[in-house]
Amino acid sequence: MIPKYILNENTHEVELVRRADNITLEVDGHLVDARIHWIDRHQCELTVNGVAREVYAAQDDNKLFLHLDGKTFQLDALDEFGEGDEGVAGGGRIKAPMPGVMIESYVKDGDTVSEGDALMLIESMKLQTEIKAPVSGVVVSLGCEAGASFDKGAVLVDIEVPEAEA
Amino acid sequence: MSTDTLFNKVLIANRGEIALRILRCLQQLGIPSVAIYYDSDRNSPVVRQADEAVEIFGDSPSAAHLDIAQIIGICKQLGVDGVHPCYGFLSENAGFARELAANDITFIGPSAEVIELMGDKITSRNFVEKHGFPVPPSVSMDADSDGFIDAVAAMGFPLVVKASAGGGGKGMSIVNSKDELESTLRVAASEAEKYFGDKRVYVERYFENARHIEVQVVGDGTDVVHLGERECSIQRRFQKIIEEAPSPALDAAKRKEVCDAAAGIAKAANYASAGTVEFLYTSSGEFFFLEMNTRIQVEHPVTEMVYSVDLVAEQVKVAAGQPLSIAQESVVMNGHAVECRLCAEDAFNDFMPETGKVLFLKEPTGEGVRFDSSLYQGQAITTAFDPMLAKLIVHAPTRAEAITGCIEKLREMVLLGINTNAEYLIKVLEHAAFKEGDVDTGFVGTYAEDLVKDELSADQQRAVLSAAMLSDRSMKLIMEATPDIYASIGRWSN
Repeated sequence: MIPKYILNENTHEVELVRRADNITLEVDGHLVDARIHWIDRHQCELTVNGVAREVYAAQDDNKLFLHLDGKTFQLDALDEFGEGDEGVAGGGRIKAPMPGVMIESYVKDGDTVSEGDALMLIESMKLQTEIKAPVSGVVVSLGCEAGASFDKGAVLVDIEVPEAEA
Repeated sequence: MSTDTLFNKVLIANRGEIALRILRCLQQLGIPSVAIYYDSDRNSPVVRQADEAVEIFGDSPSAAHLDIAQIIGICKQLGVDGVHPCYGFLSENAGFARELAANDITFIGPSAEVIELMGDKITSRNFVEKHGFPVPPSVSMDADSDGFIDAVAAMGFPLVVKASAGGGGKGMSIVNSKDELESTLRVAASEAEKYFGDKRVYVERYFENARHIEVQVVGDGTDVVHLGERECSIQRRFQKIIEEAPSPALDAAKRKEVCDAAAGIAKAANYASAGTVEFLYTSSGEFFFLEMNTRIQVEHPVTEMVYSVDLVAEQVKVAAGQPLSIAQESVVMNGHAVECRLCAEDAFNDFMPETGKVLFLKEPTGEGVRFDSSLYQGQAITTAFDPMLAKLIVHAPTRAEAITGCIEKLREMVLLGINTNAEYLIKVLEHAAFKEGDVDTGFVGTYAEDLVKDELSADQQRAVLSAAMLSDRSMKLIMEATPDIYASIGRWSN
């Protein structure tokens, strides 16, 4: 199992190669020499390839939050044993870009839609946005009903692309 | 000053950072306090620190905070004789002020009449114009009527022609010269009729590169004192994100002119509380009344820091019938203050709102640093309220030092568990045009190409990913469970 992390929408691999006084990691194929000293539960001093940094870290489920070099970074730890996350880009799955409420759905399960068709109207922070079909296909499941609220990342709709076109 | 003439008990009709800021003032004045809260805020600092706290109910948190009857019921039950509305919610609701008065409870703000006068864009504009202060030139009449072209051309160019019944940018066009005027008006009137069934057009001077400059005033019904101006031109979605005092655009003479106008408007209204007069300030140094806000504003700390006054304390004392404790001659401007609004949003992706949970917070501290927040560990950040999480204010001898201080403190501050606009604020503060003080309300749009996320260097990316892996709870568990001797043998097998 190689731990994988998503940072800025890209997946990276971080493997523990060796652990003695120093830790050797392989980050996306590059060997990295690291040393870590925890000051408390959230704060540590991390030395990577000889450069020391003060790092703050916190975790909520598979979401990792880090603060270093004066910036905050958010990463997702990929669960190797879980299902692949195919629908983020391409494919016919639309995830909520922000938390909000479904105002109206223009389609129902089983409907055939063409790329660009308006599927639903959502609202967040008083802004209404129409969600359009990213691909042509058949609506296999709607993530929520009109009036229901959803969190960021919730699946709003799944569109199955017919095999011949896939 | 004796405080036994102030209030027996004051209810804070709000939440978040401003409720906590008002509580601090009440504590300093020795006034017993009551906090009201919706279920989702039950662990917030103001609820824990106020002398009494009462839960309020409603279909939504906002609905509960807007429920006048419920709030007045609590006041009567607990013997409250003053209510501080803060900003937002009921702060500019004349009906609330009247209901409180009818129950012998003091609204800590101006009178219901003044709230109404200033709350309406047209009546306030007419009031200000009647008293001889500058309002934006505009003409609103039937385009067919005699003298329309002359009246319009007399305002000067460029102009913006809007359909009276229009909105959302439809039926709007900009005219740069008298030659264009006639044909534009004809087209605009016909478009207006087509889109809105009403051919009346409204013509207003169009100001490119205008700034938003506002003046803080405090009055006690007799005297009005101004506390200088604030520059609030850095806005996104018509919401301010960085404010400062004083404005880099004004010299001493212009400052006096603008501030005297603001004080004059407040004086004409017999203003009694803290208030803000907002002006549009053009690149050629003209200024026009936009509106008056009859509440304490989000950005009030920059004024408090450069003038060393407590605006909320003045509000409370004036509401209790005392005169202002400051006079125009005694207030002195000192140094420069910059405020940054920390918001839960993805500023690099069209300012989309973000949700999350406060997992860890290290507040910035230091000399001249003020951090107004009511964040607490474990707090859920939802879209039920405004995305503003906290305000960082830095006061320094010069503008350049205040800006540098803000950048340093934004970097030093640690807030984990929610995506914020901190990095975006730093990009604005570091921008050459901002440093020059060359800003207008279009800044965020004008420099959109510069205000983008920095690319990570390869070295930094490796540090981030190493930190992620080494702090990842499941990895730490595995490592702790694996004796070094095995780990040091070599790679884990897949």
